[in-house]
Amino acid sequence: MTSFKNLFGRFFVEKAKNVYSFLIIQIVGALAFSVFGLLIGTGEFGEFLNLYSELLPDWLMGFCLLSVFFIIFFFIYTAVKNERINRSQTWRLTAITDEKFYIANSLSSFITFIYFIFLNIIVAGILLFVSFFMDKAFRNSCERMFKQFRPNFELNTIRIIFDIILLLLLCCFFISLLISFLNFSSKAIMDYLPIASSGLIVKILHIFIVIIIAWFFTKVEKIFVDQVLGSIFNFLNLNPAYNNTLPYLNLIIVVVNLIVFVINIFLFKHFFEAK
Amino acid sequence: MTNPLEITDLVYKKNQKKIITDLNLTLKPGKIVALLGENGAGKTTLMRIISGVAKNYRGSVKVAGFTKEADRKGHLSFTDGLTGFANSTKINDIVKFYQILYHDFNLKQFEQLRDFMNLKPDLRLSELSKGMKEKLVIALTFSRRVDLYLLDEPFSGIDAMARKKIIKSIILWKQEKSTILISDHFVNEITAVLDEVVIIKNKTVCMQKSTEAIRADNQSVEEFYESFYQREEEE
Repeated sequence: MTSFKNLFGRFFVEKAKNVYSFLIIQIVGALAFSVFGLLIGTGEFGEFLNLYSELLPDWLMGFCLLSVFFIIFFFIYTAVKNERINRSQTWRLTAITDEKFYIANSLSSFITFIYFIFLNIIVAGILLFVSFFMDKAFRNSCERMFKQFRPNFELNTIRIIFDIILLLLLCCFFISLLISFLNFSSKAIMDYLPIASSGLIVKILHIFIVIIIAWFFTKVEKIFVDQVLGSIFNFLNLNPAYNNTLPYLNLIIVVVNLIVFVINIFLFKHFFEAK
Repeated sequence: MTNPLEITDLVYKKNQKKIITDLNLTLKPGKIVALLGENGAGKTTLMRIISGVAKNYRGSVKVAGFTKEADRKGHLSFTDGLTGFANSTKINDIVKFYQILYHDFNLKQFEQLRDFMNLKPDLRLSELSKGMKEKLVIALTFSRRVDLYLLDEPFSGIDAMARKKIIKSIILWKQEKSTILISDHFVNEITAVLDEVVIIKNKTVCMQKSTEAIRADNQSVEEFYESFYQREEEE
């Protein structure tokens, strides 16, 4: 029998293969943006060389900006990879139960996604650190900003930050579970329906499922806008008031995730064939 | 000793269409068995059900006495098309995958088979021809120590000379008590190594006969297979 640990490790290796390539592209891309930005700004190469210290904060800004796009892109990449592995006969032939297989695959995707975010934070941290000590103007503006906003690092504020991060991660996991659900349910329907009629009926059912999910999403979005964004705005206004509903919201999403997870395991075990 | 394969009352439907109906099949240890039938008869489906990748069937499937899919997968080796790997994957990386995920994978055996098949370890999948890929699949399949080997049209892309060489050697690669179930169109080429023939027709096993009994009737396996269809047509 294949051990869960070995399979999980193999999944992680497979999915993390391109993490460093993505990160290098992101770093180089941000550097290119900042260099061209400075070149255009200064107009002359000689002048640009004198302003090399300004490059670092620009690089940091560019990197942070690109992070948003790269993290979204990487999330889609892991979701697609996840579904491909679920469908792959090569992987499904491993001697492990379908439950463990699905859990290992889903969790390894999510861990890889978090790993990519973690690497982004580390690179941003290094760029921030180097910029802070290399560029005096940047250091001064950082200190000025810090004094002006006076961020309130009380226990409540830290808890809000923690809850928001947790909520965002749970929402990402929820989206990946929904992608699997749509994949498994539509495949189960396609395998059940007669071939002749399957094309049209499956499309209709597919639309029906999408409508249900869209309705579900609007509900979730409402919660997201009301609770999460509200909390972020509160935080930006430096209002330390702790919003008590956030942990409950996290709890609700954990429960919803668990429900969808169990449904997916059932569909995967009983209906989802490898190709 | 436990039979490597026991199937009872197997029914499999897909898209509301019966693909396998009331199929019963038992294979004894140490045999090499040909699974014959027309295109679309359900040979590949049967192998997919045995190996636990096809779902939603009725009936009982036992591999080495185990009914649970995960246990079955642990006791059989199925020729896989290696579709789960990117084209840039090297043979060495595929071997690593097998070593990590299959405890019964024998690296020494694989090295021998790889040498026999003339495959270089640093070749990528994209650099392999169809025949070379088939050879790699056979080498990987036989590098596992299991009770049942399922070979689904394993020689389709391999040239005639290499095919003959591989077929002759199959008997050396398998363990004494292991059983091989081969589905192939080149009936005449595999007859020399066969112990039994199983014919699938009308969505079920309609004939299971030993090659000894076929030869006792003064027929070759190929003649027997052809005459079986002729008889059906005449009826």
